Amino acid sequence: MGFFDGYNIATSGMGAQRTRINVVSANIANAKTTHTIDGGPYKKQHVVFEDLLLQASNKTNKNDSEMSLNLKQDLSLRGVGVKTIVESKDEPIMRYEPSHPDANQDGYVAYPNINPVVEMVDLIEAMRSYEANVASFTAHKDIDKKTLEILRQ
Amino acid sequence: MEINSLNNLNTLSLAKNDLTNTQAVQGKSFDDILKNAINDVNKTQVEGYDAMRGIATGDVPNLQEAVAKITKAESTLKLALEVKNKALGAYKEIMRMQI
Repeated sequence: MGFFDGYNIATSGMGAQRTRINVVSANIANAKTTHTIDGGPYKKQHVVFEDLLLQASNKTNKNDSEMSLNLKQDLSLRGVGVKTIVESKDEPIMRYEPSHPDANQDGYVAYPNINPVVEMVDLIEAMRSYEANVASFTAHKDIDKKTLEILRQ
Repeated sequence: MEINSLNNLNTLSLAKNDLTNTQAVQGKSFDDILKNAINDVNKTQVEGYDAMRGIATGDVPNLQEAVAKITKAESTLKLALEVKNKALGAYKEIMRMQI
């Protein structure tokens, strides 16, 4: 629990939520994409998060509380990271458009199974989550500022 | 008896002198500690300026890391300034002392 570990954890949360916003944006942008390199329509993507131990280089001067508690590595502070981005296995939506270049023999076009409303809700949630991380960062900054005010008196 | 007690006093003060000498040799000098602290503050400042340049030139991979670095630079500098003010205050206090 170093001086700057709180900042690093809040920053890791912001990074993770930023990735999520990017992925949701890609889903919204490709909501009607029928053609991809792999063939077939675009598939909705999900972000999978994992907890991350703070890197030793990122850890700042350990203070007494951690030394005296003798915390195990498993119980120490963890940030968040993106484990992987997975594709959804939802079946594409088939629509009858015989004139479309991506239509199959029967004249049906496979559209991605993406609901823009659901994506928007996801986007809002990621945004709020990012803001929460900003709030925790600001809290760390504020307590440091308050502590320094002790010296001023 | 009186001479003996005087001798004892002498050895005691000698031993005390030895103690203060060894402490000064073993521990880091105040000069070293101050230099290290200033170097650390300077390092965070350089990182902060690098982050600011990154934002200005647009080659920052993630904004939040840059902001975190700038905040760290800001708070370490503030701490250093407060310590400096305290040290100067102590010096002034001594200068004002009646002799």
